[in-house]
This record gives sequence, structure tokens and C-alpha cells, in this order.
Amino acid sequence: MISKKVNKKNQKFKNNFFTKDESRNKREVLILGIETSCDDTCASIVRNGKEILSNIVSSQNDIHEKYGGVVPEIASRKHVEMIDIVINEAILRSGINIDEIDAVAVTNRPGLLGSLLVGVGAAKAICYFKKIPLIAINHLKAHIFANMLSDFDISTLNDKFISLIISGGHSSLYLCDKNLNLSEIGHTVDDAVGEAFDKIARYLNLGYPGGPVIDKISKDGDSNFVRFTRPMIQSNDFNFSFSGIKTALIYRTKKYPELLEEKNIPSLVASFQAAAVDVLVEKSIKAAEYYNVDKILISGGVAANSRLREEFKKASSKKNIKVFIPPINLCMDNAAMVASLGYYEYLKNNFSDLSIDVFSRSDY
Amino acid sequence: MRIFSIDSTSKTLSVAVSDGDKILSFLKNNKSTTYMVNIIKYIDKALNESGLEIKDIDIFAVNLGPGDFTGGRIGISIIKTFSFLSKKPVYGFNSLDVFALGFLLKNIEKINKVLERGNKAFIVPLMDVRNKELYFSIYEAKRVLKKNINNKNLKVYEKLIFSFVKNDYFYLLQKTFDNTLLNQDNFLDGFFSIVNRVRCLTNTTTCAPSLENNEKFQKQTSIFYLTGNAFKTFEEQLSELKEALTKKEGAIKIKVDKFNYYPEARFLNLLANFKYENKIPSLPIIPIYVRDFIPFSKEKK
Repeated sequence: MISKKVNKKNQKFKNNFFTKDESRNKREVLILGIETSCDDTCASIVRNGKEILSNIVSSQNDIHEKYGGVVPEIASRKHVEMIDIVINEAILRSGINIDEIDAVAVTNRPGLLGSLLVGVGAAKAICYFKKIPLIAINHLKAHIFANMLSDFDISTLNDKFISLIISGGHSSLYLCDKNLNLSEIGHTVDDAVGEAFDKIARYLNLGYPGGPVIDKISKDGDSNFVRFTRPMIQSNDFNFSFSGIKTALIYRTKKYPELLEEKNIPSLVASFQAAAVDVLVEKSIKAAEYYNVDKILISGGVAANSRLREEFKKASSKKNIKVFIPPINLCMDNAAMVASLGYYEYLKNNFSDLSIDVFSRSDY
Repeated sequence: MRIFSIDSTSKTLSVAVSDGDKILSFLKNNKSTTYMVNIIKYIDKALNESGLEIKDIDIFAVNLGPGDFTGGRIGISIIKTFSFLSKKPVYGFNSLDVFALGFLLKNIEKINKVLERGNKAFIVPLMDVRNKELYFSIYEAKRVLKKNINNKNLKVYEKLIFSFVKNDYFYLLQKTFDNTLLNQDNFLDGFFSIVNRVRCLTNTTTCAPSLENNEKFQKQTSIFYLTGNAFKTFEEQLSELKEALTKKEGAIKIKVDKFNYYPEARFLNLLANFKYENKIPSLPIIPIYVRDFIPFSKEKK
């Protein structure tokens, strides 16, 4: 008897938070996305999962630069300072009224706990105050939805597709079914690819973040200058390894110190970049062929790499596989992708309770 | 003025709603450490009990710490968002202020007796901030006859954080020594010199160089009430201090309230109401940290 009573109470508590009215079935849906999983404080308003009305990113790169990587405690401190300013800016720039927002989508996993809880706290406050639903978003899945904001048409999405997520924290291959459920088919066994870029850049004193710097310098270099191994390229799974290339580069420069001369640096990092990109392209194409899928969606910070974009373009024209890569600003962490995924979850009524927690690990 | 406050900087999560200085509802949870999960539930419950909605609130208040990093950030993030959505002001407070006010209100009878005898009463909230360090401020509790003062000339009292009227008196809580960090190893010496300094500083105004006044000063006892949450970890230091001070100087007495207090949201409502009525600006709404965070120095590598 008692437990029933409690349940009823809880039910009432849950449903009271947002009012369901008919106007929610209108065609136009405005989602506020909030993303604070790592070092960038982001907020965005997206209409119908496609049209970006505003996309604000407050980057902390110059703060973390001197440490050569993100310091979680500092990131969290900065998020607390910025969160309300960034959300306010996103609403102002979008030109909409705050009352028009239909739901708030927020990243609650995976990421740095101290950072995530700032965004989730703010999202809960908005939902409670405005009585609108909250949608908890997986950061990795959101990265894939950066593609939906550009040239990918979701109505063509009848079949499975392969998704490659590459960033400073993740390097994974996913198989996605038409209900947008992800299953991991491969991941890095050591460093994430972006992490390897950062570590090489730090070793060569090129600055932080490493990806954009190496990408830029490599353009003046010869990618065949040093032949690095392509780790696990022949293995029968879809896993990656990047720390080996990094170690190879470090030992090569110790053996041949002339490689560290300024004129050789562009070619050295170009060779490293080529090795990393080759593995990513090869494994993704292999996965698409194995699962008999004709679409590959690439996303994450490393998807901004120009060589990677070129190589995928070449490979896709050879193999009759369509490759989608979002524009560079949507490759990095941003809240527009969170809002976009939020829209599809909104259509499915996948709402979260206001008691959701934050998690450092992904649920897939 | 309807005030809503959250304190999530300690082991105790608490939420309070008040109308001015009248508390309408106050909820606290002594066990919970999962603030992220519970906080909206508490907010909703407290508002329901008070019969108000979040949209009815005129002022928001929050404890800025120092304290639990995770909890504090959740509370501040939520309060900041509420304030920005409703375009209503938000007041932030240092944990030590909350401790001091809590102690004053709980022990008002005791302090009243001390003041009656012409002695001085000081409240010293001590916080255990790890790294073998103690963080504290010193507050003086005063009372002034009601007929000698009114709300307008309260401003002559510097660093006044709170005042209230009881019977014939205005009670004032004044911050006399600002936030300080002392290491466990030199705590005894440091605290002793600070206490002496505070005793003299607070007396210069009343003690003109006349002989009579000087005698008065020598007779006057200053009682320092130690409160806060540092007693489990620093019991040894605090009892040593108590001994040392009572031996050396008859004019200074140390009393230790060994019960570990945690800040409570209802005191935030009172503090916010006071600040609002006296038009005192709020601290910036960012968490207060005891020390700067330095991950590692580049030279080390």
C-alpha cells in the first residue's frame, strides 16, 4: 500500500514539471542546446533540428594552452563563470523570445564531471522555471548530429550507417541503425587520435591544441618524408592505435636529431598526420564494406583536419560510399549539435527527469 | 520581498524560502551527497510548502563557499540561471558569514549575558579547508540601545553584515577581521597575534587615552567563540590554543563550541534581506576558493 502511494506521489512530481499542451504539436520546434562536457562553454538555439539560429562557443583554449592540455579543475571554474552569459547570448543572438523555447537539450555524458554538472544544473533550472521538458544528450551521439545541420538529409536515412567519431577524447567507430541507436564496433586501444596530435605538438613545442597547428604546418611538408608504421591497419577488427605512431616519432627524432631542425618539422608532422589519417580512412571504409553500408558520417574535432577530409573524399569516390563531414566550426564541440539531436529525441518524446545525474562514461 | 536561497556547499543540502526575514519554508538534508539528483526535488518541495512559485521570487541568494566544489557549483549554476531567467537580483555570501550568523542566532542568550557585563563577544567560524590549513574570519557581536540608533545611521558601522532588533536593543554583527588562511603548524602563533590585534583594534574607538578609559579596557574581557566545522580535524590545535590563551592573558577568553555546524540556507535569506534593505552590493556570483588552483608549474617538467 505504502509503496503505491509513494509511486503516485513521484509520478505527480515528475509530470508536473512541464505542461503538455496542444501547441506542442506545431511544426516549428525550437530547442536550446547546452554543452559543457570539456573545456568549451556552449549554448545554441536550433529550429527543427536543422536551422541554426545562434551558436555560441566560449573557448578556454588560451587558458589551457600553457598546460598543454585541458585541466579539469580550471575548466569547471571557468564554466561556472560563463554559463549564464553564454546562454543569454545564445538567446539574444537567435532573436527569439525565451518563452518560445520548446525544450532544453543538455549533454550529461560522457565528459569531465566538474564541467558537465554546471551545464546540467543550468539546464535543469531553465526547465523547472519555464516548465519545459529536459532532454539528456550523449555527447558522442550529438557529434554525429553535427552532420544533420549541414548537407545530410535525415529523410534519406533508411538504412544503417557507419559513424566515425574522432576527437581529443574519443576515437571510435559506431554502427547506427535507422532508429539512431548506436553500437560500437571499434575504438582506440590507447590514445585518442586528437590526443596523439596534442602530444606530438607538445613534444615539438608547437603549441596547443595540436590538431590545428599540425594541420597548418603540414601543408608545407612532404608526407612521404618519414615512413611511419600504420598500426593495426591489417588487423581483423575495427580498433585503432595511435600511441605507437607517436612513440615512433619520438624515438626517430632521438635517433636522428637532424629531424628536429626547423626545416624538417613540417615534413615530420606531415608524415605523422598521414599515418594517422591512413588508418582512420582504411578502417572506416573496411567497416562500411563489412556491414554493407553506403554512408559514413564523420564528426568530432579531428574531422576538421584538412588531410583527413581530402583522403576521405578520394576514398569515397573510389568505393561508391558517401562520406559526410560537417563544416569545420561544427566539428569542434558545440551546442548546435546537441540541440539538433535534442530535436529528434523531442519528436520521440524521449524526455528526461529533472533528477538526471552526470556521468563521465558513455552508455555505449 | 520574497527570497529564495540554496546552500549546497557542505554535507547538508538546504533550501529556504522567506518573505523578508520571515522564513516560510526551510528544508535540509543531512545525508545526501547526490545534490545533482535531489536538488530540483528540494527546490520544488520548499516552494510548494511556502505556497509560492519560482516566478514569484524577488531575490535569490546562494552560498558561494568556500566548501564542497561540486555541490557549490551546482547551487551557483542553478541560482544564476534562475536569476537570469527572472531578471531578479542574486546575492552571494561567503560561508563564514553564514556560520557566524548561524552561531549568533543560536546563542543569542549567551552572547547577551556577555554584553550585559560590559564584555566583548567575538564569533570566529573556523573552516577545515584541507591541506592542514584553517580558514577563518572574526566577527564582533554588538548591541546598541534602540533609542540611540535607527536604520539610517547603521552605515556608521563598517563591514556590518547583519543586524536585528530584539527587546530594547539593536544587535549588530560586524566583520572585524577578514578571511584568513593559517597553517596547522603555525596556527597557534598566528591566531594568538590576530586575536590580540583584534582586541586592541576594536577598542581604540572607545578607549580614549584617558586613564579611566584605559583601566576600563584592562578590565574588559574579550570572549572569542570558536565555531565552524574544523573541530574533528583540528581538535588538538584548538585545545592547545585554548590553554595557551587562558594562561597568558586573562583579558581574552576562548570558548569552543565543539559541535560541527554546517551552513544553512535560512541564514542566507536573512543576510540577503539585510543586504537588499541596506542597498549593499553583492559579491560577484562566482564560487569563492580559498586558494588559487595551480595544477603544476612548467619548470617542474
